Amino acid sequence: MPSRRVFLKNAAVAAAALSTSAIAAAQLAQGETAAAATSPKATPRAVPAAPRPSPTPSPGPSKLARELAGSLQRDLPAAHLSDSMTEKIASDINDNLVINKTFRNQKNRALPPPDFMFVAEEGEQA
Amino acid sequence: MSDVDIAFKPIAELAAMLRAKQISSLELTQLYMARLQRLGPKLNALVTPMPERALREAKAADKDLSQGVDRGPLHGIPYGVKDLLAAQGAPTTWGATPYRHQYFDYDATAVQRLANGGAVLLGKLAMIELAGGMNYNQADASFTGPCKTPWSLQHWSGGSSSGSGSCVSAGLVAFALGSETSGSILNPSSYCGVTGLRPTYGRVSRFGAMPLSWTLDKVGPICRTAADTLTVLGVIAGRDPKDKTSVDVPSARLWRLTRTITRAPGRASASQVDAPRWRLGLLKGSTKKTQPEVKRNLEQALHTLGNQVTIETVELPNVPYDAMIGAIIAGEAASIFRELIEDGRVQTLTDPAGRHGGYSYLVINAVDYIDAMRQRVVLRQQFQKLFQKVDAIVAPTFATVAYPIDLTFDKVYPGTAETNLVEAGNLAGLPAISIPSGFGLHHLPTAMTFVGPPFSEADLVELGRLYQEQTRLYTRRPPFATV
Repeated sequence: MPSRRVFLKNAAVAAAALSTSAIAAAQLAQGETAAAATSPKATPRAVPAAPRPSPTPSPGPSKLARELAGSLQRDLPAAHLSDSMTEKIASDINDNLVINKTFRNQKNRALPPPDFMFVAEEGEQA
Repeated sequence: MSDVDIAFKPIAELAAMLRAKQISSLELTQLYMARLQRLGPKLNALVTPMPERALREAKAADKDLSQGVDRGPLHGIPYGVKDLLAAQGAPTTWGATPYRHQYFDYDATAVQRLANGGAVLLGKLAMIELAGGMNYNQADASFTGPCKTPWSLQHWSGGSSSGSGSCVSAGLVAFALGSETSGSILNPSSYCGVTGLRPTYGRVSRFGAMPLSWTLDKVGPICRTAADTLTVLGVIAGRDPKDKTSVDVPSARLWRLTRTITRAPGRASASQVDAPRWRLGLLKGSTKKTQPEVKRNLEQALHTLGNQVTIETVELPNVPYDAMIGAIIAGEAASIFRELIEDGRVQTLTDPAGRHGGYSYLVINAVDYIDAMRQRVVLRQQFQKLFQKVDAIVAPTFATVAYPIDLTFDKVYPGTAETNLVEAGNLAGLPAISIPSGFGLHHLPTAMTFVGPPFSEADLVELGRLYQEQTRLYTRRPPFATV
């Protein structure tokens, strides 16, 4: 298990990617047993480890999502991403862009710092 | 007493039988191993049986007991582990084709602690590939096929600790270990009608467990009863130098309860128990979009708890849960599985959604990840305030019964919707317990969950125990598993 220092380093590597933005809307269809209402809910495709109904497919990936997926297709030759796979990735990216939009639209920017920190020496954390 | 009767006994009763020499650990192990190998494949719940290790550990347990060496409440008790945990003697596949032949020559710390406690490892149990970390949209998301709930072979066990839930429910193991990043202990516990305990983040070492999200992953027990979960937690919990996020939190109450509840359940009625008066916070709107039976069963359960609880309505802190969990899992999972994604092996996963989901993680924004982590601090502070008002939050564990295995998740049970309690509890590192609350559509199990402040596992277990001693729902057996 990595230390928090290693964790932070890895997280930074993972996130040192491209900035993105857009939306996915989860539309829940009217049910046969439950009370009725259709309630749209924004749900990123980056789903947790237990299942949640996936969002209704959006009309199609945005230009930005397609460009990002295209860059992955070009930059990851070992992955052999076909055009149809790249289109699916664009759709996933499009759905995940809601994450960026959500944080950009947060009104409260006076958030405390995250509770992990870099330490200059190996060893026990407090 | 029939083999089936023995197979469905809670841990405390099995432990009593072992000490009274009514059965040996070897006999118990052979009984469970036969059931696991006969019924496990029908449920798609078994990855690798481990008969050699099991027989070796069982014989050692018997020898110890005969020499007066008692290793504690799990001594001689057979169990299974989610195939996300390393264990010597079998591959550790993570449920995923690219790792089918992966071997570790050591035990995960949780497995090692169980071995030190005299427990007997029967085998590795099915799971959703990579714990669902690359996304999934169907029950068939593992190279072992769709794992089924023993209550209906047309319905899914839930995930990602699929085999752990299914095998405990079918009486194929006395208990199992699962893991949760966001819902993966609670979900199969709910769909399979068993009791699952998600420990506080840091309570149990993750060394030897597949990482999916370093800041979210937890290892915990799935058992027949709430009391059993505390028994197992008492053995696996604690600081481990190999996992620097693990902590020792002295809890006299936890250990006192661990001792007192190792007696057979059901001996004392709830009215005889010196129970505190619990302040429960019923999550506002949590039954608004559930199946009607889920709502009904929760209401009946709260009625059953009666004057042992007071109930007020509470709301979750107002933070962007979906964006937070999305950014954190995507960012961390992409780092962990970067090579698998970039070299294309991820495209060999079983679920089509999992073959491309990971690529989108590679373009998650660093600023969004950090903002999600900052929001977690806010969330924790707000939960601290909430838990000054109530001892635990209660809600349905999930809005529906188990999903049909032949439908993709975007098509199941339209009109229902989940709350954000699973995400909230995981993001804040809070413990939770899922307790079966009855039966719903297609006579499938429903469940409720109690979520408490950090390191309140013993309190949550006691709540669950009060309910289970009055209803004894845990004694119900799936017809499939009684043959």
